[in-house]
Amino acid sequence: MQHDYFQLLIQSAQKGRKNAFIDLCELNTKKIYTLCVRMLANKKVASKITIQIFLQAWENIQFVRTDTPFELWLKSIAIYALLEEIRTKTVTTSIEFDKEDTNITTDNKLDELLVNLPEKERIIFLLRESEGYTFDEIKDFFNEYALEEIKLLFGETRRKILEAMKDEL
Amino acid sequence: MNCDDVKRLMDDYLDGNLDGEVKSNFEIALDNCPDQAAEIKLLESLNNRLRNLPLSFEPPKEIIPALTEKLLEISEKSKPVSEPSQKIKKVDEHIKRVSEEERKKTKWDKKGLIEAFSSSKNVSIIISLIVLSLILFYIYNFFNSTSPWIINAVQGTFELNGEKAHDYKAYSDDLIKVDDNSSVKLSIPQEGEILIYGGSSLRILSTKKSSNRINLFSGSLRFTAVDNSPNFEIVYNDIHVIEHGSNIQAIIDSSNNLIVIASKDYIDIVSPKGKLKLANDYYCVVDKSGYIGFPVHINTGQEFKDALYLARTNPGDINSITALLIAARRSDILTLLEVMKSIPLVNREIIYNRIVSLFPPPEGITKGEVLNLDEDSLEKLWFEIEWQI
Repeated sequence: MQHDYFQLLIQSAQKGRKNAFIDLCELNTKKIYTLCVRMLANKKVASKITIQIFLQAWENIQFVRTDTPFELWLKSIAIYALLEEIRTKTVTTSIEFDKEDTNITTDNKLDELLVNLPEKERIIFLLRESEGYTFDEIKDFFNEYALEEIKLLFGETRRKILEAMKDEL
Repeated sequence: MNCDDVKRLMDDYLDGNLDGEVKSNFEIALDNCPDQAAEIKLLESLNNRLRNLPLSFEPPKEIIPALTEKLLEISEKSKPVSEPSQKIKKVDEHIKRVSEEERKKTKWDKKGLIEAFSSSKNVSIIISLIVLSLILFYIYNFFNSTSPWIINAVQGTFELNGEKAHDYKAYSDDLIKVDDNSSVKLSIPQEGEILIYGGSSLRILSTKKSSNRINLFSGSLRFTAVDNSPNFEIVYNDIHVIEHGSNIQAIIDSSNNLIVIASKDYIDIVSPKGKLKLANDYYCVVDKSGYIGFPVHINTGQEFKDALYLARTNPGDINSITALLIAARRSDILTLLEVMKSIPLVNREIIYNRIVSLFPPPEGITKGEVLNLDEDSLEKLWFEIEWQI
């Protein structure tokens, strides 16, 4: 069950009302942008992909499920767009960015650890632990890896992070 | 199972992959492996932190303006998406799985509750729950209510249910009459404010968050929304004026026509004779029988108003339509859209061409649908224009 205001905005957006859709995006910008920064470890690319995600959401707004939260639907769209970018590097190779975009710092130690992990470890770990994807679903994204390989890599990353966070848990 | 087995199965345990006998054996063995037990505790704590990561990164301010610009471009280029893509199907599968897991979790929670009941057979618990339900019901009603509304005389005097009053609380069914040369502010907590002008009278019909309604009998008022979706509605005879986050000015004139002005967002006007969406900065006149006039932009020129009068009195006359198109400015397009709906099919195209020259139709609607007044397509076109105006 969605909040009334969200329902109202979704229904308006489905009727073609773009300002209702923009309101929906504004309410979710920080969530989607944060997810993009974590997955891509590049602020400039994250910003471009955030816009692409919203555009993909607009193109598919008719297919929003009313029985699940909009945020979950939008995040799922985002994951596919992010994995596409990670695979193809379309945006990453088409724009110029400086050190500030990739040297990401934050007050949250765990977040800082995550964005500084190697790409493959970071993606698998975030998909599993933060976004709740199953290993089988992750395997679908990374066809080139065997299921056991993914599980092993995930386990190693989990312990690496545990080691670094031990004093704060 | 020894501590080496525990270590080997630890990840599977944390990932919820163990069940039945293996799981119970694991948990029993864990009691004898303090190092592994401590590690599991830490990993669970890490899991919890990861599932509740804060939104650490502030998005750049240009995201929304850039998105707005792209959405404008889409109107001209993009084709409709009528079938979900493979990606959307996969998104759906993932969401279904997550929802199913949530449902299962809730089901198990419920099962646990039922078992707790049957094992304890404790009548006092049942009674407590009934009492608790009643309390929750009253709490729900309390929070769903916007009652009482607060009345303040801004100037002069007013009557509440036939008695002179100054500052008061108003409830559903209360009748408010504002004396001449007076004005009264009626506040709907957390929803909006109604400024009622002198010589007005109204009755409060409903004071719920899901529906705040008044029946306006005479005079004029201005509603200002303080919430994004206050669910406010004005009823006059059989005419319903429903806001959508908008401010409303409603005036009943000396001929008992209702004049409605929208600002900030749009309004729906519904009467037995028809319905109309009134965009921000537009007004319209609804006569006492419920006939809804054309919407007019508040800053429209006199030339356009005159042409509109002619178009209204000579519906379908090509000269009147031409004069209207010549006088129309960008902000008059929603008026043209309504005029187009009111004239014979043969003359609609000339107006349609003018509309789409300024506001290309959004994806998914065709010229034929608009000219044949397909409701869904007209609404999409309306929203496309309203958004840009």
